Amino acid sequence: MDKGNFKKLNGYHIVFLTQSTMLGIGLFSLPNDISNVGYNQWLIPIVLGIVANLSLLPIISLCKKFPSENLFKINEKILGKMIGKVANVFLFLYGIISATSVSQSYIRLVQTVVLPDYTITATSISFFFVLTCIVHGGIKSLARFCMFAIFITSWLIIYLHWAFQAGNWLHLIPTFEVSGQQWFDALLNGSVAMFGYGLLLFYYPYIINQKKAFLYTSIGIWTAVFFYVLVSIASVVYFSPWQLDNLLYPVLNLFQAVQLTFVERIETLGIALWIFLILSTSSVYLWVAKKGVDALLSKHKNRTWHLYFVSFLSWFLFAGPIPFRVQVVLFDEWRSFYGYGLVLFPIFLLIVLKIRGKKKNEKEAFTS
Amino acid sequence: MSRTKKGFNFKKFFDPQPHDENKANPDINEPITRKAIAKSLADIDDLVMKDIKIGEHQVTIIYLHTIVKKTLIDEMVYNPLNKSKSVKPEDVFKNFEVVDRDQLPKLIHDICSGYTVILFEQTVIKINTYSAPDRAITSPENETTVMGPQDGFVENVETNLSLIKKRIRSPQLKSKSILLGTETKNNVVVLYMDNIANEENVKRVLTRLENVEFHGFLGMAVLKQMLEDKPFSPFPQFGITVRSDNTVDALLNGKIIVMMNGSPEAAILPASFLEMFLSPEDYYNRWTTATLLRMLRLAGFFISILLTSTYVAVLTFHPEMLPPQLLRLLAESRAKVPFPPIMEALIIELVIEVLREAGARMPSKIGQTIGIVGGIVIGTAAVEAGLASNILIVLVAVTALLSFIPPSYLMSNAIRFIRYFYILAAGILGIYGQMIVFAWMFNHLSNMTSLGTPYLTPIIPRKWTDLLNSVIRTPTKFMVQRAGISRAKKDLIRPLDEE
Amino acid sequence: MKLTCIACCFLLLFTSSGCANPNLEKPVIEDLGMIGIMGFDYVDEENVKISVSLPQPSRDAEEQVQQFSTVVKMPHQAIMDVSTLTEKTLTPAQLRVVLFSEEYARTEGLWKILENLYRDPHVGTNIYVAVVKGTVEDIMKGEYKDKPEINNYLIELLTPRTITAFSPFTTIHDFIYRNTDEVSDPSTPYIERIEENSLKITKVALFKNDKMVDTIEPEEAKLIEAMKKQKKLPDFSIMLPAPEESKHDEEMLILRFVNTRFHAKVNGDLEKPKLFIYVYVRGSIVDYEGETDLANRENRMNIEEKLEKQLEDKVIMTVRKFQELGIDPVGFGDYFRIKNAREWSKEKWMEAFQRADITTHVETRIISTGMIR
Repeated sequence: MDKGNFKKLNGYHIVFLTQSTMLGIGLFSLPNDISNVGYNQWLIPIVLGIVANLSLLPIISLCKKFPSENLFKINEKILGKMIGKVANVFLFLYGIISATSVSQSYIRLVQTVVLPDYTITATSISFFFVLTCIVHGGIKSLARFCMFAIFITSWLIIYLHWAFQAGNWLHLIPTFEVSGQQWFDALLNGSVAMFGYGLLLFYYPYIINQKKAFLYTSIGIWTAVFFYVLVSIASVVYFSPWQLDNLLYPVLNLFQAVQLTFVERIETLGIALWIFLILSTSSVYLWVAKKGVDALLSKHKNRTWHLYFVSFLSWFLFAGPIPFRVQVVLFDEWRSFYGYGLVLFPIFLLIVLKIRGKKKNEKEAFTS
Repeated sequence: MSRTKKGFNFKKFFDPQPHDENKANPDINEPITRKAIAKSLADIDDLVMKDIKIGEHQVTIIYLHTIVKKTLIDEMVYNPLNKSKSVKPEDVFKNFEVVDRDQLPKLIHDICSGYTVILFEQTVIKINTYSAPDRAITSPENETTVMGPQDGFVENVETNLSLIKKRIRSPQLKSKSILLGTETKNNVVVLYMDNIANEENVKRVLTRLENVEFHGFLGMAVLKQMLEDKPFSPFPQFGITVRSDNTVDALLNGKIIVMMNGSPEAAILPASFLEMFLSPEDYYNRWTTATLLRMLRLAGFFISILLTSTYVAVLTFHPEMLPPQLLRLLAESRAKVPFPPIMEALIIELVIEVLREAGARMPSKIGQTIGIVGGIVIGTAAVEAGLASNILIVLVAVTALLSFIPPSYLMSNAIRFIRYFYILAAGILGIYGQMIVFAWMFNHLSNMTSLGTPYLTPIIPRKWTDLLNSVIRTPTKFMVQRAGISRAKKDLIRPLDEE
Repeated sequence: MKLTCIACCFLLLFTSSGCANPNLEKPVIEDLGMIGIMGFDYVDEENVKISVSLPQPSRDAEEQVQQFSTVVKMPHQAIMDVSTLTEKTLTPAQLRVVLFSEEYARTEGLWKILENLYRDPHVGTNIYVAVVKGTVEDIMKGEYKDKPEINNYLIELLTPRTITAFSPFTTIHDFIYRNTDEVSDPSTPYIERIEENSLKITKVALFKNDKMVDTIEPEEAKLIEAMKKQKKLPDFSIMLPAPEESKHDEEMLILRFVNTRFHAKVNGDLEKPKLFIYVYVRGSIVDYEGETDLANRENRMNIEEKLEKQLEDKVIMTVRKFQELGIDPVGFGDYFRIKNAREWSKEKWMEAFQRADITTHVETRIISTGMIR
């Protein structure tokens, strides 16, 4: 894991890492999540893309200050050993909860739609086996897997053709009838689908051409936004407001619109293929969690058993005997909270850095 | 390479035995005398030790008559000796080597590999008289092409080298030879173009070869497995070929060829996943045809691993995916079958494997019985008896045919093997299971390296221009750069300075 | 270490999935009873009589379909109930057609049933919905000589073809979409059994929300389809007033549509709604009864004019009918919704639509008159 020369991520690796961390289970339910604003929803991903791109600026500027350290080390440097460790615990929890939340919702979906006769044990064990294998290869192997994930799944976008063809394009004209509060709610709900680009904070030190990291991450964000917009446009033209509000996974129904002569109900295949996107998303998070354990227990030294530990913990969190209430709180409420946290955290760190810099300056001025 | 350190620790179970150094018989540590040689080569019944008197002096001739032809030894040793009066080797022979007195083990090894040793009173000389019977050069049977050169390699490494050097007449073509095999001491030759091949790669190959410890090699394919980056993987990581044109192409692309005496195959290092699906015939065909065929082979790979398992998955878990016509067809053909789909598929797949294996092992004279037994009894009768559905038979047959498409026999065998993973996973978890294995396979492939280069080039790009000669073979005019996988020293194929 | 790890994983997998209860074999394709058609007949306010038909795949079976009916409340209850009757495990995974009797559609409405079918992830959304005359049970149990078995027959009948393109080919998704999109109302094909031996899509059933209110004839339905979406329509027969010198009063003309285009212009004012419907029709004449020389450009223009007049009358007539019924199967409301998105509701729109001022213009182009003059 992560052997060889330290810097190993090329530009296109960043693009694919960013976009496939973002694209995941979020895409399945996105049109439902942002259905507050009715037919205007296809504007939401674009707005979110702009917001994401703006919030990338502090992330990048923090990274540029510490070009060869990941967020765990930066924390310890800026906040000091003790507070840094506490912050790292939270970051570790973020990684593990996100990984678990993504895989949990996917496996529940598989259980309801593809394999209704099964409990989640078999599906989740096999899922986590492959997940562990992927994370085991290190960040570059992850990036490669993300590339495959995009290549293997992105062609499914062709199937939106049926929805486009059957839909009513008049729905697309934005009417702005909803209140500001609803727009805000929709933005808030939709932003869950956008989290993921912030993980740049963790893999930034591995990037070869760090000057262009902003560009590559932006390309990644906007390709993801492109897919989001396409899917929400398809949903808007194809569904009625009631359907947008009430269908849990509108993308499945978009798949169901497809009529091919040799195979029907393409959504089964769609969900199964989706595993690539889910694996790529949750493996990046799991990698972060693993790095977190490295930071907490072994002073940033790489230990393979940390990986087995985090993947077991992650599996246990949703397949183990934990009450459903707790799971909902952990995965739905905490996750978005954490997501915002990670985006805002660099700003906080930058401020701390500034204050400390000032103090130092004053001290120096005082002594001289 | 850290490769040797990894893996299973056999020391726990076995006591280590003393290491044979590169000596034929380490027990003997004396100067070369007639007696010492006789002792070393005792109980070898084809040993010839002839004492001839030349004048006053006695000369001893030693060789193994099974690997030295009588005519040759007459011409090269006896005739000159008989004619001459002198006992100075340089007066008698024109082509010989003088052996140091204290190099007995080496001498013994030379005798075993076909040299004739002549003991004069003062000096010891050896003459290469190796002339064991060899197979003639024939066209390669396993890698046939319609067009192109038809000479395949034979078991003699020198003949093979001659086939290559016939085509590349350049002093840049280097060939280094190493003796390998603790018992067999076989001649292994490493070939590369000095001005093209990556030095690091060459060094890596040589160190890996030196680290190999094994009693002997049945063929190049055995040695190749010991050089690979990931020995546990089901996929072959180096190419292997008996075609001379394939070898030359690899050399010109900066790859390294390893050949072994006694084996007609040459290993190509490094090789990518995609190259397992390329045939030299692609270059003889027009680029359009070649592109079509390459796409066919690659699609064949995926269809071959997914087809039967999809049948199992759909029938067991996802009947809703079938359109009405297909559903009726499948349900009708399955109506009498007593096994669940996964059992049915496994049985038929295994039957096909058995047919293949029996066909490969059977003497060719009775080979056609296989066709009759396989085709009629298993195909038709099994369906009529209701033991298998005829649709499955069609699918399995298509799968079996498709798995023969890749020009690399090892890749075709890899497909054979991993297909069972897919069938089992499909039987347990349906399409989801298939995709789990698919994801695992992709992760495995993308983690694999061949001599340190990603196995999946050009999908994981070394160079973007590799895409011009990947699934799509563009016209040769566009191929300006060498394949990225070999990290060639000289990048451009054409100098381009005058264009 | 790694190998043992993998081995453990596989062991766990096998124990946890494959062999949960060795006595319970997972039903595979031949053990499943794939429901092809589900029919709903009215019993009383609470209950519904559900008929299902399963195709029998075996070649040796005497009957090609198995049919069952049962009186229950909910569609999945019927599956449970019938499953105990047959040797097969019933599944709605291959459901393709849902039929409702006219009585059920008029009194109960389709929403309750369709919503529950829509909820089930195993039921697709490309399932055709149709209303039949009489009871569904009779239609399903009927014997149709020289026709394929009932499942196939109905599927083929309801699959979109150009010749039956006047019917809306409503699927579950379409019905739910139309019912909930806040502007329009669903419509479905209306099937009748005629001459004992065949089924025919005779009319189109119109719904107000989810309840059937009326039917319209195919000729008018064609115009609705032309207004809904650009698609290939079947031939259109039309009676034109004959020129004075002719001996007939009217001349029949059959027009083959090449393509149609439609757009609506609205003033967007819900207080004084005005709706202008523009239809553009390109077609060729395939049958013509009259004696006018069609090759003559002036004559052709003349006929085009007459055609336009006729079609405009039809459009106005059909839309009037919708206004009287208070329904909007085409979805004119969308044009109003865009301009009045803020306080939009379907009731408001219906109220406005009923007093809307409708004008129309149909433009016709005859592009060919065939191979003879």
